[in-house]
Amino acid sequence: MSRGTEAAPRVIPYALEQLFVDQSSDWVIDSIAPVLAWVPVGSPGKRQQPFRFEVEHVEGPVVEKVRIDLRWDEAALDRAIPGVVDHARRLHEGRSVQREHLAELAAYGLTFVAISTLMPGRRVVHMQMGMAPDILFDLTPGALRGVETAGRTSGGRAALAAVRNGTGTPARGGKRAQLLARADLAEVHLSLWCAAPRVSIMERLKP
Amino acid sequence: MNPVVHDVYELSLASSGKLKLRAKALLAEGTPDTVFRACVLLHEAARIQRRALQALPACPPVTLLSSRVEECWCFVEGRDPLRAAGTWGEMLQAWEGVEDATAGAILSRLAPLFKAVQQEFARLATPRLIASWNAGPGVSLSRIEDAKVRKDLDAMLARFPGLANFWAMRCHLAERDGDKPGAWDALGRARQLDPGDATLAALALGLAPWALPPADAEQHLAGVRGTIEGAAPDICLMYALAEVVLARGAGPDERALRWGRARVAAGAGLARTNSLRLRRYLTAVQFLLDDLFAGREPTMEILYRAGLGEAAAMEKPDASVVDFLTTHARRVGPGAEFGEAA
Repeated sequence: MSRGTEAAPRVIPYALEQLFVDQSSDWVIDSIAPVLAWVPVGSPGKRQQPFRFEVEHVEGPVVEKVRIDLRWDEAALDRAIPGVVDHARRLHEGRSVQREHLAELAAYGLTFVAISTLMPGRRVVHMQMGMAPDILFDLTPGALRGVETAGRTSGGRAALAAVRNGTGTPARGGKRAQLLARADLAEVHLSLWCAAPRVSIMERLKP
Repeated sequence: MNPVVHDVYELSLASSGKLKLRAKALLAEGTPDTVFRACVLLHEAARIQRRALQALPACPPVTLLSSRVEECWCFVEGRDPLRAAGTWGEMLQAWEGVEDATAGAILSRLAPLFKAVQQEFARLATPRLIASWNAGPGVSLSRIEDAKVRKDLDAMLARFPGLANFWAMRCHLAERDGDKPGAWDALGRARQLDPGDATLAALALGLAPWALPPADAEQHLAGVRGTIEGAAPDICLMYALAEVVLARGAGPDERALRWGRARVAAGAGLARTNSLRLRRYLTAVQFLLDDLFAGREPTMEILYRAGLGEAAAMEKPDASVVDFLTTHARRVGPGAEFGEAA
C-alpha cells in the first residue's frame, strides 16, 4: 500500500495475555497495569474492550494502516500478575501518580504488543532508559538493534509527529534525526503512542 | 563477539534493564515509599551496568560512553545528584573517541535531565547544610542551628531520597537526639542504597548494640561474623566494640566468647590497617580486652598507652573506657582508612 491511499486497515486482534508467550515475562509484568490504566473506564466501572489503536506502520516508502484490537481476560491477567487489575485502577485514579512515567510505561507495553504483532519472532533482550533506543533486540556493541518508544496522553498524530520530527523552525529535538545521527545503531524503529485519540506510529528508520 | 562473552554481557545488562523497568513502575506510583524503593533499584541497576562492561575484553568507545550515560541516568532518576555528577565526569572522559554527532545524539536525553537535577540540588544544598556535612558527626550546634540544619536536610531528602550519605547524616542527627528507631531506619536506607559501602557497614555495627534490642543486635553481628577475617579495618574495629558492648549484659561463658571474638576482630583489623588513627583505636581495644580477660577494670590509662592521650585528656578521668571508645569510634572509625588515604 502506498503513502496517501485510503484503504480499510488491516485488523490485528491481540490478547494481552499472549504477551507472556511472545516476550519474556520479566519485561511484560511491569507494563500491563500501565496499559490497562490508559483504557477508558465505562459504567459500571468496567474497562471497555477492545482497546483499539489506529497504527500507521511505516517501512521506508510503504505506509500500512493497521488497527490493533487489544482484548484481555482480567482473571487470566490477575493469575499471571497478582493484583494487576487493582494496580491499574490505582494508576488510573491515584493522585500521587506521575503521569509522565505512566505514559512511558504504557508505551513500553504497547510497543511489546507492536513488536509481537508487526515484527513476529523478535524478542526483547534489554531495555535502556538514559538514551535511545529504549527497547533492544540485539546488544552487539557498536551495532545495536532496537525500538525507541514514546507515549503521549493527548494530542493525537500532531503530538506524535512533534516527537518524531521535533518542534520549532527549523525543527529541533526530534527523535528521528537523533536516531539517524547515531553510527552505533544497525537497526532502529520508532514506536509512538497516544492515549486520546488512540493513534500510533510504528516506523522503521534503519536500515 | 565471542558467543560466551555475548551471553555474559547480555545477561548482565538484561538484569539491569529489568531493575530499571521495575523502578520506572514504582516511580509512576509516586508515593515516598515507592520512590525510595525505585531509588534502591536504580542504584543497583547502575552497579550492574558498570560490572557488565567487564565482560567485554575490548570495549568500543561508543559502548563505554553509552554505558556511562545509562549509569548516570540511573543516578539522576535514582535521585542521587552526587553520584550522577561523579558518573557525568567519567562520561565526559568516555566522550573522546566517539564521533561528535553520535555522542551528541546519545546524550540528548540525559543532558537536560542532569542539568535540571544539579540545579535543584544546588538550590537545596544550603550553606549551613553543607557546613554541617563537612564538619562531620562530632560537631555540636546550638539548638536553633541544629533545627535549621534538620529542616534543610529533610527538604533535601524529600526531593533526593537516593543520597545515601545524607541518610547517614540524618542517622547521626537522630542518634544525637536519642531517637533509636529513627537512627537505625536512616542508616538502613543509606545501606540499601549502597550495600557495598564499608563505612556504612561499620556505622551499622557501631549503632546496632545501642539502637536495637540485644537479640536483634546479636542477629546483626551474626550476619557479619563470618566475614571479619577479610573485612575492612574499620568494620573490624566496630565489630570488636559491638561484641564488647553486648558482652556487658551476658553471663560469664557468653562474655568470654564475645571478648574472644572481639580480640580476633581487633587483630584482623590491625593486620590490615594503614590508618594511624584506626591503629590507635584497635590497639586500645586490645588493651581493653587484656584487662577484661585478666579480670581488671579497664581505666582511661589504656587510651594513653594506645596513643589516644589527647582525646582521653578531654574526658573525665572516671569515664567508662568502653563508652568512650564506642562513642568516639562511631565518629572517627568508619571511613578513617579512606579519609587518611585521601
